[in-house]
Amino acid sequence: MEKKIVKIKVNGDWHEALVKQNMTLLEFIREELNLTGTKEACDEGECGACTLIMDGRSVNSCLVPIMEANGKEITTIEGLAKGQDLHPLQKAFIENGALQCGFCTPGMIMSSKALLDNNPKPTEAEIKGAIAGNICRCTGYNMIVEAVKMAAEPKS
Amino acid sequence: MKEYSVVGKSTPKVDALDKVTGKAVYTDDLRMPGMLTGKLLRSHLPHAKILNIDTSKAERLAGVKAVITSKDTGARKMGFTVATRDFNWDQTALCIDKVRYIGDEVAAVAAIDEETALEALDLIKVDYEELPALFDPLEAIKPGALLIHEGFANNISNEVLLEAGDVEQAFKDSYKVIEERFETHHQAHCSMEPHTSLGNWHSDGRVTLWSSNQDPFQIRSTLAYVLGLTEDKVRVIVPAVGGGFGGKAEVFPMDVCCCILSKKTGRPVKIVLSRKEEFETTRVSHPIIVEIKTGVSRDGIILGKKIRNIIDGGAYGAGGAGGIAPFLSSLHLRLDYKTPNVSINAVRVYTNKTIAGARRGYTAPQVHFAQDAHLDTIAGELGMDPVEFRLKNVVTPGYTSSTGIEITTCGFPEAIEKTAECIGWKEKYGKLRKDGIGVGMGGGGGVSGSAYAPDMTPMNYTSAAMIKLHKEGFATVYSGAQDIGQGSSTVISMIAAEELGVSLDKVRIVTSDTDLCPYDSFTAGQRVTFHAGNAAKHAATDAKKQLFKAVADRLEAREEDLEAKDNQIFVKGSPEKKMSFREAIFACQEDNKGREVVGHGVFRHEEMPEVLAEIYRTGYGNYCPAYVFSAGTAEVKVDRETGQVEVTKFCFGQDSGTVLNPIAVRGQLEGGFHMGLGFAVYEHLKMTNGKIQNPTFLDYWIPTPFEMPQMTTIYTDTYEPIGPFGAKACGEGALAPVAGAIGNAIYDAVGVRIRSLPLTPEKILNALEEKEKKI
Repeated sequence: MEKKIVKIKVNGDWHEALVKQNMTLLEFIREELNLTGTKEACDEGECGACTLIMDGRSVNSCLVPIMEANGKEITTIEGLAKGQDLHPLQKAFIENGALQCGFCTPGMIMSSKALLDNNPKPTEAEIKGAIAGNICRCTGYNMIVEAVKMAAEPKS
Repeated sequence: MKEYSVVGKSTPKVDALDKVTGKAVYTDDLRMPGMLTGKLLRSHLPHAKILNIDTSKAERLAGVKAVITSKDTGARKMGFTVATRDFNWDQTALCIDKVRYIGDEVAAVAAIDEETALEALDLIKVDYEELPALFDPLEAIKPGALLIHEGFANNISNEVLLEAGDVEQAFKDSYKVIEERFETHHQAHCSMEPHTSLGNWHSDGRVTLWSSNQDPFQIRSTLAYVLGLTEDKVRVIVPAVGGGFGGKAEVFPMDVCCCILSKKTGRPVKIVLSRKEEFETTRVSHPIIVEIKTGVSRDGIILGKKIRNIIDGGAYGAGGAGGIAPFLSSLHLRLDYKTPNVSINAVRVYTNKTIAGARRGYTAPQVHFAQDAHLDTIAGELGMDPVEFRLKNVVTPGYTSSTGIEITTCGFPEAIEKTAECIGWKEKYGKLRKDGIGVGMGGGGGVSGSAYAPDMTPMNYTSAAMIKLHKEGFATVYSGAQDIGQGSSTVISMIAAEELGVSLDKVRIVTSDTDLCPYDSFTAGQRVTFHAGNAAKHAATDAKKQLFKAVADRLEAREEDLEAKDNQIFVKGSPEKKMSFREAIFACQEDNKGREVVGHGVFRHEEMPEVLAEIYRTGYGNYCPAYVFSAGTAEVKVDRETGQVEVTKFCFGQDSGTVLNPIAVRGQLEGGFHMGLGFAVYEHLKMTNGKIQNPTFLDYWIPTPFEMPQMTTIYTDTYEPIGPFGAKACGEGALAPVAGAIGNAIYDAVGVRIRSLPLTPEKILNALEEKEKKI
């Protein structure tokens, strides 16, 4: 397999690497950059655990060939908090009990972030729609939907 | 109710911060120098003799570091309960002479990367001689059927035969005797984290296994046996676990293989299952055929019950969690409604299919579906309201059943009444059929503190805990309980904090390491809060006692007059006479010449060990220190044109004793409902000739947020004296009422009774068509 050089901006920093062309963005993030917050749960684009944000859109990183990510800007779960300051979604997930085993949580938060970045005041149906591609086996979703609502309408 | 400082208040999980920032480390997130990737070669046939395995080509592939077969992993079998090792452990890590299902492990490789490992699997040549296979438990159980495992007549891996009273006489005395048959199907656990194991065989002959499992101590015990090591040579560490639901409770071939591969290569070896392997080769729920016959008096009292459960076990597992399926399937049918005369026969049958095991609620969701439908049928025959009929027969506090179950506290009657009220039973039941709307009730009892007896040591089914107090003013709890996402580390910390009289931020917790933590028999069977929680509470009491001794002198008070609260120890009635928690620890160490302040605690169910050792065969005895109860009412809307069911409302009535962490209990109940909804309506792992047809999330289909109804939960006013701060359990029982309530609501909505799960549109339409024909 031929190797190529890619340049990808991840959480604010440009990374250059020589990679096999059949690598996925998920492999790049987890194996090359060691950013293990992004999870692999199906490798088929069916569960959303590997969701991250690429150029403002949420994507299943297991389905993104690495060359497609070349030159693009990526945000992973590790890029959300500013130092010790959590993103409102992270705070809301903790406060609202919107996570249990935590394996879907990074993907769930990234899908929710993509939603709120583009639609700061979503309806309940829009929230459900935004996370419908992220499977959670633990919570039954209602507490996640409430957490996203809470993050969208922070207590004054 | 007593006022508490820590328990009873909604508390975020102690590991939540790591989980929302991506810092939580799961097994697949571990990286080690020189680490290799392991992969398993699996059978593509459901039943075949292995004639020859040729690994030579694979071994020659560049980048392949080791290839192993049963010659390397040996003939020792894997199982769960050491007590039953000699008669029902049934699976070797790699197959020796025969494969028994599609997915059975035949060989394993370790290579420098995944691509090479997968290529190596293709180069292993296995010669098989295909054998006839058995897929239907009713065929497998027939006399003369071929045997999947030698020595198990009629392919029965294990059986419970239980009689109490005189059921035949009870039927003669009955006003009506009603008989029905129900079937349930395979549900997959679908933990989001795939099973992952990382083995490292050290140069000194010790081995460490990091693995995503629920029971580090059981894994250590079995792994040591299979590897031919003593337990002191094996250390099991469990990183964060991405969901278990019963599916990560046993040793898997991958655990053994990664250790043996590490031994051969001298390097750490990690094996991660693919999602397809998760669906096909881990564990699934047991499909159960429930044949149930009940006799009732004219005024609606249950007089006798005769039950036969035929449990499809798949290819292995009876030495594992599968070994208790017959017992539990019987327990869940005699726990919740008073039945003086019972006769139960439950058998688990081998078939050439994927292995069934423990799944959240372990057999309760299956048999409670049957029981709840049956109760409604009987109520209908009697012309009685189903809620009224249930209330006439429901178990009550202090009741001892004819089969030896001792109910301590019981909020089930209250749960039934309140969930009925919550859904608007009186206004809706039987009244909305014209709109295709119906309401239904389900529910039942479950274990609280399952006393599974997996070890032949003094540790037998115990949970132990230690608490170390630091002179800097904080405590570390050491617990053997495993947090698999359910929040056990949080609730155990809360219990310790409450008992020590300190705020939660003064408590840290260490779990998941067999070298560091005290013994805990397992994380399953709704036993963690009860057993491990009690152990932590006792350890805290012990540590606190040591502090009180040191403080009493200094405050010129008697130990029994001291109280600990809000990080202070003070004299009751004279709160100005006090000492801080930190100072107290310092003083205690001072009195003991620097000795660490360590508290010990243990909890064990009081039933006689000899009864518990036999309970899986006899069925008779008091299995648990307490029992939980869940009632649920569903409102559904059924589309008569498409057969689609929409669950619009669900009310839980939950007896969990004291609710220690409300936000976590809510999460358990809603998550349990979600899994129960999937089981009842949507999820079905379909098999044709032993081949799973839908091993992907896309085809399997777990309910999305759009299918979740409006939910209300009512907690009964129950305080369990044996539980920690009055608590029982909440993790598994939540599934029990769901399928029954939905099935009964469908009946109320459109008048058809579906006796098999899942409750699909196709079945509903067929039943409606049948009904039309009859009219």
